[in-house]
Amino acid sequence: MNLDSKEIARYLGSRGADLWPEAAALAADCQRELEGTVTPRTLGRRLSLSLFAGQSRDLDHHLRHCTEGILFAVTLGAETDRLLRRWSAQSMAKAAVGQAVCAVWLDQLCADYCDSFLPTLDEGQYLTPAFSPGYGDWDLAAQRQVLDLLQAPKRIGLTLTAGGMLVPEKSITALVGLSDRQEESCGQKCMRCQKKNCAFRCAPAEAN
Amino acid sequence: MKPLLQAMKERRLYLDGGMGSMLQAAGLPEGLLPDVWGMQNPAAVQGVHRAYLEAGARLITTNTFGTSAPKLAPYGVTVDEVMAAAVANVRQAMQQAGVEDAYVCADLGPSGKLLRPYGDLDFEDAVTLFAETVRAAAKAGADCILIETMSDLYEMKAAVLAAKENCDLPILASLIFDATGKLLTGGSPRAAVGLLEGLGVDVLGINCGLGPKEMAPTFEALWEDASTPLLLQPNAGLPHSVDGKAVYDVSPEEYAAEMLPLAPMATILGGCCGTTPAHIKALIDATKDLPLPEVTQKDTMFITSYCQAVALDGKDPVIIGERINPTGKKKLQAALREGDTGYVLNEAFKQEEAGAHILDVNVGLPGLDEPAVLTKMVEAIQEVTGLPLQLDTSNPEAMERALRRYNGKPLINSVNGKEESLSAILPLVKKYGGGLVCLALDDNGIPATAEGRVAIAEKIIARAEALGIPRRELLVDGLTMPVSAGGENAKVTLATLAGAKKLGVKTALGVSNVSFGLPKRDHLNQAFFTMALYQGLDGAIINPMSAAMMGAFKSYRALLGLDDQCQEYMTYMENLKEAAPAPAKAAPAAAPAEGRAPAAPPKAENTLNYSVCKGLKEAAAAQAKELAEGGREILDIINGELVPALDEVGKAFEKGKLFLPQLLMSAEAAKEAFQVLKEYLPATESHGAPQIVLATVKGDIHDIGKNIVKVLLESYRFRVLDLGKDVPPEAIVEAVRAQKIPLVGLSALMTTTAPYMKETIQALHEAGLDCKVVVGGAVITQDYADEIKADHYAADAMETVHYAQEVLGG
Repeated sequence: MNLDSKEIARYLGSRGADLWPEAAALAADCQRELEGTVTPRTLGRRLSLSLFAGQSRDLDHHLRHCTEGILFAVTLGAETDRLLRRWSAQSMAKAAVGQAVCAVWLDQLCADYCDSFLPTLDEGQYLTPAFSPGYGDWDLAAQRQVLDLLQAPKRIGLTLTAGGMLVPEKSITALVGLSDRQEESCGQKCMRCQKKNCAFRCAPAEAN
Repeated sequence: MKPLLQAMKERRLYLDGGMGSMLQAAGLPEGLLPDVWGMQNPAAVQGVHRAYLEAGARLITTNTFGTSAPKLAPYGVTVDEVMAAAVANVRQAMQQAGVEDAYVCADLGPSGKLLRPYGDLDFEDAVTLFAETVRAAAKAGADCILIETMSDLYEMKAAVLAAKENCDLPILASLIFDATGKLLTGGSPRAAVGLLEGLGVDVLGINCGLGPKEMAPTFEALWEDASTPLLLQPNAGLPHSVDGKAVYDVSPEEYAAEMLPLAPMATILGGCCGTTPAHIKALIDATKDLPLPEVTQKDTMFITSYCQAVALDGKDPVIIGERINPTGKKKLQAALREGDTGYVLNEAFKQEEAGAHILDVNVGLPGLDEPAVLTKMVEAIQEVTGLPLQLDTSNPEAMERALRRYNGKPLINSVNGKEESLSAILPLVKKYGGGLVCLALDDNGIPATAEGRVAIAEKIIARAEALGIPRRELLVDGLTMPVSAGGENAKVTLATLAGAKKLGVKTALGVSNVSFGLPKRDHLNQAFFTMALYQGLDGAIINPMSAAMMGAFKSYRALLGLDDQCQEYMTYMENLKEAAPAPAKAAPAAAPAEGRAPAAPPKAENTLNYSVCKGLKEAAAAQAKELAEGGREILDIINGELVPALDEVGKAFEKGKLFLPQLLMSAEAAKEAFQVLKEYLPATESHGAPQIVLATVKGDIHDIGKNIVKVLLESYRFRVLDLGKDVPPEAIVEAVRAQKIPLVGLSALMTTTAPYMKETIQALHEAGLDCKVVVGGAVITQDYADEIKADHYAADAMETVHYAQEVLGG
């Protein structure tokens, strides 16, 4: 695990600053403990996007140039939830840093998973950024369909609560489209998000 | 036809193979429930069963992998109807194939939900869910219950208990491991053997997830440890994706060849995903003449948690940490009475770090609801540590409740030779499993001689074995008596250990009682401990934070050749050096972050104010003590040092100069200092009714935000009652009403759970309770707070503190 400390700092609300020494030390502890106990699990499949058509205007727009996509799920597993509870009982400062470490690790695993598809793409084919249930107007209730299509409970132990929450907590499901347009694949997701006052928003270059 | 368990002793039995892909080939559309579809298309399901019967399988699995009431509800069919149809389909297929000697295995798969505390399915609700399926299976005339593809030992325990409590059929329990040899929830094969043999399943094994080759190391590990017949049902290799679908391509012949080296260990063989009747036929042809495995009774006791097992093999002793026991410990007593789980967890962490293998949990205090508190503490400790526990209570009701909810197979402390104890405790051990500490005393008290104690031990062993509890699960406690009360006492205890070992059981001792009433107890304890170890002590109930005791333990293992090249001894002694007493003064300050001004101009480093600002917990506690001992007014220390430091850090946080972890470190340092100062305050000023209730609302299990708010509020000395996460409105109303609490803080992280916030506020208003409500959480906004009639919206944790100050003063 080799995580970007600036990203960890961003999840801690630093708005552009790098991780400071006390937090860096805690982050190193968290990473060591995670590496010793956790096996991240990833699961995905290529499928026709017609399965999701009409569910969400934002999703349809996001995938407007695609007919096929990759549906995937990543989870850091129940062992990570246990570590987070353990850190919360030991020190909330460590728990807060641990949350950020897990978030960055998950992001990285998602990126790595998508990258693993690049060699299988045809010439002139690109991946769109990932889009997850709950983004924009894509209803969170779509998680049920996503987990069923992937057989996620059985295969990677990823389940839903009655309230529609993914458990284990440190998990992501997402859909990426296979697009024939390169511009779809660039651009920071933060800059296109409507939640302009988000504490975790990437700092735009000019603001630094 | 012979009963299944009898037939298993005479010949190897073959299960069927994959069902889902064969049903898909027969027309099952993606997205439909196979069990419901099977009800409507009996001929297709019977065709699959028949093909497996014709291939030679004689254990036929019902098409009920996902059958449970919640999943069936949308289809308007009941579990009873689906199970009856599924069993009938097998029986019909047997008739069609002209087979009479096959057994119908009622298939129970996982619920698809994660159990509490990580998910939202309560353990008892899981038992109820499985119980309905089990009752339906028994009613429909199944021959056994096959619980399979379980990836969580806790859910497996719920399913096995449901089977034990609702039918008399044999129980086959099968788990899904990954290529690292772990369950999805982290459990090891050894932890699985401990749990499942403790519960008394008839067959245990592995299915799904991997092919035979990849499964081999895990299956061999089961074989090493198990005293129960094994079953094995691998997939036809590892899946790979073709057109988005999982494809398995190990051929029948390859499958049979890969199974060949594993078959001698398996009493029951079959297949899982990707296997077909041709795979089963090839498997049978290749293995039918192999002799049946000889299933031997092993001697090792496994004490387990959700993930790991501690082995008591009669040779290498283990440490059972004794610190979570309120006898003579005022702080722990207070923590238990106040429901301060944090204090108890801290005791658990310290013992774990010191090297304990198992933690004793005893919460016996006069006036305390022991069954409720023991269960609560056991669950809280299991939530944060993988160490197995020893449940320590003389209250059988408390024992049963904690045993039932325990995730794994614990040590049970204890039973003794009194009839009352034997008849209360032994059936619990039989039902739930556990290593049992047997006290060598009876109605006549503690025998003065070792022979007398060993005689009682023999009586307990006989009674346990008569119930079917194997000898390997028993530890005889030789009973340590103070040497100050009798010169023979230590010798009698040691001789009892030696006598018990000859009976083929394990031994246990609470070691430090030997020095009761004498000065410098560590010396006596250490010497006696070493003697007891040499006499065959297996489970040492000691204080692992005592360097003398742990030193003796590490030395013993090195001296007896149990510590390879004395590695552990050397590591332990090296760490001991590093942990040499730290100076009481403040640790050197961490350098301020580059490019970031410190929160305040440089100040003296050895002050409480400085330590709180820098988040130095230990230094803050030491300095608080120093100030209090020096005679400064306690309230003056709080208002003159702690509060200004917190305010300073809080302001820096609000201005974006400091970030959340720094704020939390300061809050935790202030809290630590306050804990010290509390001791010097009159009880009326340091204790009192809670002022603030905090809860994450119903349906929501994210609680980090709420916990952050709690730490900050507590650092400002607000008394907080934390109701936890997933808290229903009624529970919040009840707490506010019962303790007349003026302020409620609610947290929600999800759009789907925020409505419960509204419901909670409504319920508080309807109950006519005079309290203010502050809300917060990732998806909460000022607008939403206004809409649901919250009194205040807090965008971050500091804002909650300010609002609490406004409402409550301070």
